[in-house]
Amino acid sequence: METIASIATAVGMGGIAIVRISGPEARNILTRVFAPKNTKRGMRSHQLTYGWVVEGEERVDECMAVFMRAPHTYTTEDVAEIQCHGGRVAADRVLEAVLHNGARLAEPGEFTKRAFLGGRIDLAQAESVMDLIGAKTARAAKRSMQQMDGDLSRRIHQLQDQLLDTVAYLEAYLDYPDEDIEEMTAEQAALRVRAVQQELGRAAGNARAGRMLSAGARIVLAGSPNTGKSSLLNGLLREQRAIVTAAPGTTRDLLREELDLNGLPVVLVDTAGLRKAQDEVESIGIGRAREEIDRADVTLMVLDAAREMDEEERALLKKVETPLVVAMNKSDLERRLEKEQVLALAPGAWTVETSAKTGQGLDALRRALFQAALQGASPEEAYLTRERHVQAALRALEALQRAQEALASATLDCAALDLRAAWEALGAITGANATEDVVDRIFEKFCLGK
Amino acid sequence: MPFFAESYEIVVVGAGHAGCEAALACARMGCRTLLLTLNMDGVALMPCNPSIGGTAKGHLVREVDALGGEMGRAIDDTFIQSRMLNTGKGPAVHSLRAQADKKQYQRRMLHALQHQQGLTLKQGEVADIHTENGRVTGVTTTTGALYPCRAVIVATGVYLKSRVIIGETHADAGPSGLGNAKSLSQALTGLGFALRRFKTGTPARVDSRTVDFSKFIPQPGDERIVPFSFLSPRLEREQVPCYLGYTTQETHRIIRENLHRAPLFSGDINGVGPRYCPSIEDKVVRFADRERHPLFLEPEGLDTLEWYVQGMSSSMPEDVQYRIYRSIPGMERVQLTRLAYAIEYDCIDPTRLRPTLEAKEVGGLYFAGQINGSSGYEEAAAQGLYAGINAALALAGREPMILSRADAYIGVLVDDLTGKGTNEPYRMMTSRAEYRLLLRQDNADLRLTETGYRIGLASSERYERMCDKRQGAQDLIQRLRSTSLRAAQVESVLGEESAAGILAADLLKRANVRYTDLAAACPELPQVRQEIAEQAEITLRYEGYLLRQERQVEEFKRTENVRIPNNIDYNNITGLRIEARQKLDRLRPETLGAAQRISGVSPGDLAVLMIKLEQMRREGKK
Repeated sequence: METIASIATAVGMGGIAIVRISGPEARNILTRVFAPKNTKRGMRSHQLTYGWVVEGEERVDECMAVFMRAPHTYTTEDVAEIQCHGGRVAADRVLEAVLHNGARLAEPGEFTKRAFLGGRIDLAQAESVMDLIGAKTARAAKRSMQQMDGDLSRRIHQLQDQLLDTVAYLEAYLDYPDEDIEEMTAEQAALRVRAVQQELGRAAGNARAGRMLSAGARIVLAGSPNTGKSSLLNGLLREQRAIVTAAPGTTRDLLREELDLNGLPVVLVDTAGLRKAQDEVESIGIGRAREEIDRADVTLMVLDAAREMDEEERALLKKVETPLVVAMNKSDLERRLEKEQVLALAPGAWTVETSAKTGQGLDALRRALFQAALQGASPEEAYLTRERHVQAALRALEALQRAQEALASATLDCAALDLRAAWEALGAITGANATEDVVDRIFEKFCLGK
Repeated sequence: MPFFAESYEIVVVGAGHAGCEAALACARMGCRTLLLTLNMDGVALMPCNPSIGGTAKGHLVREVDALGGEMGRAIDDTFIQSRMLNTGKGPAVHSLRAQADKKQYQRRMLHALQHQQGLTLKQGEVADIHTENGRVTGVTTTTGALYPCRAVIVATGVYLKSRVIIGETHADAGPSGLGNAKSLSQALTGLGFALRRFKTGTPARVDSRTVDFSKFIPQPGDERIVPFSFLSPRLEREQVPCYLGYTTQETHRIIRENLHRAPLFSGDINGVGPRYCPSIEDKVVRFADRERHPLFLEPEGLDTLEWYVQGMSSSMPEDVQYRIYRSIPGMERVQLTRLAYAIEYDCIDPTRLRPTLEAKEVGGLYFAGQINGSSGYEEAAAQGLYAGINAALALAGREPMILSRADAYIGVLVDDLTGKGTNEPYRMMTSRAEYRLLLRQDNADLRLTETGYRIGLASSERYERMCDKRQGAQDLIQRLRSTSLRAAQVESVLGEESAAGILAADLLKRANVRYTDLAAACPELPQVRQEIAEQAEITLRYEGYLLRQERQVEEFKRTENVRIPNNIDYNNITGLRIEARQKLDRLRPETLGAAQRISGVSPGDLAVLMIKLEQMRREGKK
């Protein structure tokens, strides 16, 4: 039995959103994503606990969480609920954390379905759920109508169509061994599948851009203290707010600021604050800074252009794997550092000359950060914007990979199953039923029969 | 005036492939059964192709056999060529097909019927089905014989008001020059069944003395014969070849020039024909860019010169047929012994049936085979067996035998027909089975024989064989998982150097490694029967896929096991969308799973329905 999760409250309504998790892994997932404030007390069944949803070291949101052991729960399974701040972004991030930790996105009505199948359902609750489902499907219908004309549906349909052709080909070949079907070799099928994989892979890649446009990007600021980083940050924030004065004694490890980058919501995390606070244990600080960098959507590294890079800066440049923007700051001073030196260490980086003092290069820096966040994708290419769609695309990609393996070992019956699974995963976006479509396609395309 | 003939528990109408299985199952399960046929010479007739099995159909035959049916044993006794198809394409689609000696097959089935205790076989045409209080009470024949009974299985095939069409000529007749059934249609209408017209066709038969076989490519049978029946011993038999040939541009030209004379295109045929069984004129029109179409010459039997021309079904006029057939290389001087024809017939809408194949509105009235809108001998046999079993169980007051889509191709067949219905003659295909990696032809006995034994149809010999195979496979798999081959042994299996030992189970997962290779290299591994080695090979090699499918089946069963009460009023459920409401009301699914598969029922509708079911359950408790 899979563990499912989704946002149980209406999107964008009310001050509190509830992310609900149901299934055997509910407890484990909650333990992984939720850090209670009072660590000693432990979580008791059916009792609300205060704490934070965390991803690694970062606190995603301040929350209340409850775990309810089966069977006295809505679905009769183990259930966990996280009450987080309302609004799309916060709830989506919490849900994302839950999905990354082993839950599958629930289908519409799936909690109710499980509740019913478990032989228990609270009638009052059920009635209200019914209303909610009604509302949801009405909205969903409207949304899918919009998507019908839109890019998403058209593109996904195209991919499904290509898959369906390949499935029909394989199935016709399997079901009609005597017929004169131009033999579709495994290699040919593999080629066709490869094309879909590439397109879908691109879409899933761009989905990152799509999700960022709606949910925001996380930019981690790196660089030595004397590079003028704080001033640059303040310049980006367009207001003088000394981030180093963040109230001491707060539990925040890292300094976070939010800003709007040409329409892209951004969270800026400054790892330098961390280093300063932990001078004595610098090595730990660096380690954690690097961890932050690993989890960033974009790393912004600030260098002092008026001096040579030191060892640590060189090492960091080489190590960063996320999209990287290098601000060569203090460009108003005599230059001792060239762009080529940076690119030699980090070939894919965007480099921008800035001067926090004069304000020169700030607009260019904003553009570079924007491009790095979207990784060159234009916002128009980012048609997979919803987590649900991305998950579907990833499931499809997984199935396609299996199909390739099956094709390579000439088990065409398995390959056909995998291709259908991929088709159906995409069907979660467009909404369609595979079997009949495959049968229809077979007869449309092939001349079969006695 | 009807006269009282004799009473039976069950009357089966029609002795085709559905009727034969139905009658045998009923009698073997202890019901006094009467089997009525239009013509004693038409029992178990194969009016179309002289073969049994093929993709998915072969699976059906093995399932019929695993449950204790007759078809598998009958074809094993009478085939003249046997082939396992698709062997290079994965285990789920391996399919057995055999060429039958048609006359021998009929005789073999007739023998089984006539020697079955509790079964009476007679010639007679049923004119009416009697009911009382919504339940079957008996049938009357056209000659006035009244047979009171508690259940009727209608398996009339393509004989109801059938019309044979050859060009401009129409005949009020059944297939192969036999008569048709004229009265029963009206009786069915009277019982509330709306009848539809379906159409199918068959190619010409040719005199083999007028065919130059050297222009064709011979298609021999398999060297190692796999029998259909799990009871059959290893078979060795001399086999006859079939022959492959192709149509030419000339063939297509003749067809195109005479399309105005094709009843299919001139509007003379109203019935809905199957897409997978198109006539040659249909193929030429729909696939105009094809340069040739394949055709197969298949013998109709050992002691006849008539051959069947698979791929060339047609309803063109006689003169055009001659020109078409004679345009094929090697058939320039061919004589047609029987012309190709199309046949139209009455059938019912199978969504009026319950998942037992019993009519929703008439208790004790069952339907099986082509009358349900299916096509094919195997599809018919499967339904006949299924209806027969359920009729016998019902009369004994026992629980029905429902096979789901996760149990068997038979389950897929019945669920597709009764749950979705069909707009054309329905043919089984492996692509219709969602869980086809589990529903293989090699494990039909493991899936079904226990059920067949429990209901009292499969013999204890059959059951013990299955248990033996199941245990043997389990033991072997365990052995393979705990036996390691030393480096030298691995080398002798793979033919390449190996640095270290490998677990036998892992070695077997590699493509092209067979159990016999392992057993030869490693003396600790036992010698086992081929069927046991095969189970181990498939189980280990496709482990990941099998597991995934098993998980899907688990999900599937959760909704499949939730029953929807008969008295549910869909029109009173607020929250259901109109389309869902109408479809649910028309199809009246018996389980939540069946409701889920109806196209047009959304996940939201399903949730609403589940809540309603829960409300009903609670009200029922009070």
